[in-house]
Amino acid sequence: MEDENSPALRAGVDFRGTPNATQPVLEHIRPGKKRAPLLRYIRINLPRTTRLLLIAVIAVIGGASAAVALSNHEPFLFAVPALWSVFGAAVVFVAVGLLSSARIWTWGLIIALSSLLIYLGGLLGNAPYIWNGASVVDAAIWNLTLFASIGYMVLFWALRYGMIVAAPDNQNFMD
Amino acid sequence: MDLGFPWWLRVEHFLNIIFISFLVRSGLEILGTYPKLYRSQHTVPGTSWAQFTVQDEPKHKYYTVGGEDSNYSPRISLPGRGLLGLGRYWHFMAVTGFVTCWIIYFVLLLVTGQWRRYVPTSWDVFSQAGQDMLAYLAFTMPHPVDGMVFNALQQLSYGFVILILTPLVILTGAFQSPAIANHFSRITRALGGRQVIRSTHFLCLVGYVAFFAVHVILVFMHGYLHETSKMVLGHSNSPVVGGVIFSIGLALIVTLHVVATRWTLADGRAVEKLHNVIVRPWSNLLYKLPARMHYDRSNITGKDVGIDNTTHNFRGSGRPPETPEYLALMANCYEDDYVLEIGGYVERPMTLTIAQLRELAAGHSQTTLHHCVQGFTSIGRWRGITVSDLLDLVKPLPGATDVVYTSFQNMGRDDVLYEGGTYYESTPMVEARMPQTLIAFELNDEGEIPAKNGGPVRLRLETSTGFRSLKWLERIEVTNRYDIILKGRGGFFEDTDFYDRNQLI
Repeated sequence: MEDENSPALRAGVDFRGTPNATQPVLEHIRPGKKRAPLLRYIRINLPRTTRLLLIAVIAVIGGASAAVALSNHEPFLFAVPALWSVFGAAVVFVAVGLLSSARIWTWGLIIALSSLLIYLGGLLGNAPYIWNGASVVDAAIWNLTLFASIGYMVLFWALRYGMIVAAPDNQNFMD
Repeated sequence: MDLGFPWWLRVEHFLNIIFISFLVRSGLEILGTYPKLYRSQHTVPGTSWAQFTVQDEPKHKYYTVGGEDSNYSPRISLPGRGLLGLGRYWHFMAVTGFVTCWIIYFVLLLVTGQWRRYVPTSWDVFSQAGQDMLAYLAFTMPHPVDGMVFNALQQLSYGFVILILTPLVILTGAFQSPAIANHFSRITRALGGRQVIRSTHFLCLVGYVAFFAVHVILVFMHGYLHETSKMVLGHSNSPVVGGVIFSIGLALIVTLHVVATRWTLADGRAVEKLHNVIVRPWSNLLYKLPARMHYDRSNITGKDVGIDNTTHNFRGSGRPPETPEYLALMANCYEDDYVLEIGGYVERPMTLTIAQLRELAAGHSQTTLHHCVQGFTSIGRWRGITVSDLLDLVKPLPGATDVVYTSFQNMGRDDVLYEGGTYYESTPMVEARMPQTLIAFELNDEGEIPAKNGGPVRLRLETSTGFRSLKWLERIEVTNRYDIILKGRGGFFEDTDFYDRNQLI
């Protein structure tokens, strides 16, 4: 290492020869603009909390799917196997998420999209809504699959956009 | 009891929309000048848990906290464009209204028995709130509790916002005042320290915004005209009339924001005058709270950790003087060459070397938390002599009211972030005489104060925000008026920017 007093070099980042070596650099500002898009200003660095949150949302999707499958109100033909598939995938996802540090967020997106697809299928079929004769609890759990799926997709987008970050990654703030 | 919607509750609801929206926008302005949130009081670069900036600082060059600010749009923050001083003025004016409103509201809730609308009187409310949540999730509308004007979930959420979130945001706001935080330093430590308090204050903002979003969605779900009519007329018998009046009120609030933003950007001094009329009457009471902080105990264990509890790399703000005289002083390690002049409106003007200051100080030190106006904090053990002791030596003449401190630093020449001018500060005698107003010559038992932190000698003003703790001190002058010095506002930033000399909050 050429300069052991440099925090950047010690962290394995070499900015020598770049403007950021000696000047502040503004990221994400398009030519002709003074400021970056609003959401670019938000960067949360809570990797473990975010990882747990993503796992929890998938756990909710899995749990709600299983509850819908166990109810006596099949949203559409062959919905029950699909719901159990989502549940099974969610169980695997939660286990892998808790027991390893793998980056499994795209798999979570597939689970969330599958759940959303089932919900949309239910709209065309006989989904467990109050007006279709379902109980309040069954209808709430059914709608929970929608909100949790959308929630995961929003979190996944925020992850990809850089607003949040999930362990084992972090924002690598170097100020 | 018929709870209904009494007139004072409806007025408070409308005023809260104004105050909270102003608090949020001006709060974002304040956040933007140090757009980083921490869990540790030492604010070590790279350790923040959140950042609200697109700026990356230089990696191979010293940078000061002054360049870390983020320039938000006036559409988002009040007034925008990184004008911290004006954002603070608006925040404190809105705080004055918001806290006054909340206290009056709280008292009225108690004396009229209306507290029942927010405080559950039965455990059943909690299970009922769960049922209500399920009902919402099932896309149905839950029914109000018997004798209540809204359902159990609404009761709990409104109760939380009014009786828990609001006191918390007031408390965490108050403890960002250096005067309050350093007077009640045990409470500051019990709350987790300045940066935990700052982070919690921000999370309260998030709480308000989240509540607002859900609240507005539910208003539309329950029926906009029907619900807003209750907030205007106290009933929903004439929903169109009530809804139209409420909508006009909202339009007026938006107009108020636009006018306030443009007015502030056009005439900051007028906003300053308004602030001084509204805020100074209560903020000046904080002069009665002298700093009495000693960070010689850890926050949690109570074990004496002494110097270990200080910040190893005390953040620098501002750039050291670049004159040949100052560089020569530094090269000679200050000891023999530096002389502090104390004069002006005194009986016995004198000059003191660092060795003499050290002898007079007799080992006195204070370990205190630095409150940067932008938001960073560092803990330092400062060795020095109190200004009060120095004043006793020079004997101010009858009628002396203020103490003026002049720095070697010339802004603009030394720090390109600012326009030129000698850096100076002034304190009223009451502040100069406070027990922790110190002329310091050593930081963290290092033998001296590093150049970036204001060596060889600096002022420590623990009741005030950091920029008033003048660095690179050259001369102290006792005066009987400060308003004839330069622009007459009592300090460099007070003259050239929008900061109140009475900087206790």
